[in-house]
Amino acid sequence: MAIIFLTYLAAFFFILKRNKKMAYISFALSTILSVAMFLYHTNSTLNLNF
Amino acid sequence: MQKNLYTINSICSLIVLLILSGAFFFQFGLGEEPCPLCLLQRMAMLGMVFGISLNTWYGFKKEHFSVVIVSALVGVTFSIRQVLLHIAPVVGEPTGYGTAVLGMHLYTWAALVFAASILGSAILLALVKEEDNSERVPDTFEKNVFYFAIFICAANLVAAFFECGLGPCCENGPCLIT
Repeated sequence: MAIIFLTYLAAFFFILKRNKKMAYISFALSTILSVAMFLYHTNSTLNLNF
Repeated sequence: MQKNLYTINSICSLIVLLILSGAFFFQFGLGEEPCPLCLLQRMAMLGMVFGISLNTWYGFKKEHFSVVIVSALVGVTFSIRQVLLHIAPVVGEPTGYGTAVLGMHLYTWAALVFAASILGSAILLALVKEEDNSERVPDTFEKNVFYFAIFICAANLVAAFFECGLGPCCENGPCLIT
């Protein structure tokens, strides 16, 4: 989870640095990671469904 | 008109950030550890703030609103999933997960926030004049809202790291795979 927050933070920093392309890449990566984590939650044996 | 719309844009960002701050109140003020799905919903809210921030720093563009809408759709998927998980109460057990606010749990409020964001994006898209201004200089209010967004994102990063490490979050902290 912390890694996904880190990619979101990177996206914000890239906005600040006026690097729009990298900001979009960081945002896309963090969104894909969060959806992947959600899919992992739905069928994990770790009981993450709450 | 366009200047006022930029202020409204930042106010929308501030509202989402205040909601995320409220989640911190539940986490640290009331001692409720955030559930895994709640953390995912926070991420989707940060994605919406990211899209709004693109408007602040690069001018209004339809691509920026699409970022907001995509994040809101991802977030509403997470929150509706959680609503459905708790929609049928078990006899003898508390209804829902966590403390209810004004009769609704936080994940239900989150679903409404995501839906409102899609509506807000539709309204702003209808009102704004598109401009591609990569050199736009935000005013002090807009800048402060953006720095607040960075602070909230960093605070979530630190809180998630100390709660669960780098991996997924289980009920009482990091998941220990046996």
